[in-house]
Amino acid sequence: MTASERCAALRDALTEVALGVADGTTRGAVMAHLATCDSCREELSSLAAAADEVLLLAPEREPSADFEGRVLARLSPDPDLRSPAEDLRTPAEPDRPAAEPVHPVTVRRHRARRAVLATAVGVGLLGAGGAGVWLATAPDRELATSYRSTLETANGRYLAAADLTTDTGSGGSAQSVGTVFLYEGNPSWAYVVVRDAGAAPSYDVVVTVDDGAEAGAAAGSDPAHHYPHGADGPDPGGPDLTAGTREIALGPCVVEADTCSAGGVLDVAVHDVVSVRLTDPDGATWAVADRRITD
Amino acid sequence: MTASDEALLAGMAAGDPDAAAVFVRRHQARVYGLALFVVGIPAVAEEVAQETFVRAWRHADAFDPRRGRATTWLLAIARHAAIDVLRVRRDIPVDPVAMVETIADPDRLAERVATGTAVNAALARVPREQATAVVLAAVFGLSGAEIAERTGVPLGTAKTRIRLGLRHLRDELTTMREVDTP
Repeated sequence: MTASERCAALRDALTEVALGVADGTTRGAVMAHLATCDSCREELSSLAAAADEVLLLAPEREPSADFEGRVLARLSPDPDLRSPAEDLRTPAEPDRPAAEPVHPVTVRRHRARRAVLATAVGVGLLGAGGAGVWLATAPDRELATSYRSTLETANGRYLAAADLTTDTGSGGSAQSVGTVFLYEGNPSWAYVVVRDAGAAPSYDVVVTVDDGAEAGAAAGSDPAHHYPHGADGPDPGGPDLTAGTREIALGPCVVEADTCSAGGVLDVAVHDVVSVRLTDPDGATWAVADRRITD
Repeated sequence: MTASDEALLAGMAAGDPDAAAVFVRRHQARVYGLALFVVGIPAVAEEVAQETFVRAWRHADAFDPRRGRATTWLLAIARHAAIDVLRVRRDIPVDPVAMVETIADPDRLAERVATGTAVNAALARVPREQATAVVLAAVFGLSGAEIAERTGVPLGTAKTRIRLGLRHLRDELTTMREVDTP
């Protein structure tokens, strides 16, 4: 294939990258070509600029009167500060201890804030968030940073991290032993890093995912786009934890020097992940990272 | 004296809340407008708009004026945030094609051109199916396959419309810029 044939073959891919709809593989192929093709680089630049302009088409609208005040209140000096107490509550529980100033719309804001996910801006991922509860705790921030840089290369779109904790039984507080990372991409994957591995020589990594069909979805259509306004859809915070789930075994996490790491590809979207757990050789659950907890 | 966006972003990068206040006030209508256009629900759109400014604040030092205008940088952040909400919150009903029709409607052509945005006028010169495909991708992040499905055409047709539409738009914008520049 000559150079210009390659350019022609990548025209659609180049367009997708310019529009920000390319998947990781496509983006990689285009970037590799751009390394040696000035004309395609210029083409991408002008196409991307045009694509950016399209965003100006949406009509301007004024938000509510106190919008500016609420934004400024969120611009705190340490935007990455999070407390472990924020981790494991469902969005439907409004009485959780709030780490931020409480406003009348606190509950909805927290739910929606967690629903606004990290994504790429320019070339980098900006931060972690997730539908529900996945937050990186302070000791894992360095690790999270190194994973983020890996994902930047792969056009990562959604990094979520959750604390992996052992259950020390009734009355005991959970001990953080590692971190679970979830990446929404093409495909999605889960990766577990254990800092404090405990007694077993290895653990099995099991991912529990939502599997039930969503109530009210029209047959054969995409449930996300066909709920009429005001119709009863599924309650995002409410389904029974055990109903409509299945398990994906990701394989063993073999312990060396008190640590282990393991992961694998998921055949679901990251927000369908309910929990990730590590089981010891006897099959008992040793540690878990949960999206939702029972009361 | 009015501060430029670049100056405001430099101030924000240095942690100046007054610069942030001016920046938010200046851009909140277009950020919220885009968020509302994509997610359709005012309360959710406000969350997206808030999140957009928070990210702009955190990454003000990443803005490079040589690579584009602050407005489009900011709107790209808003678009990412809005699309991510749609991916996670499947309970939000949204019909991208219907939304795009509201800005691609030829009956509103005069209205659109009158708003004075160059891209409005440029898009008016792009064949309608191509314009629709481009906006579905650029604003809603729909892939060729998703556009094909939603507009009821084969995948190849959708990809062609996107490809030709974006190039056509780019060429119109370039022509308009050349005409304006002495």
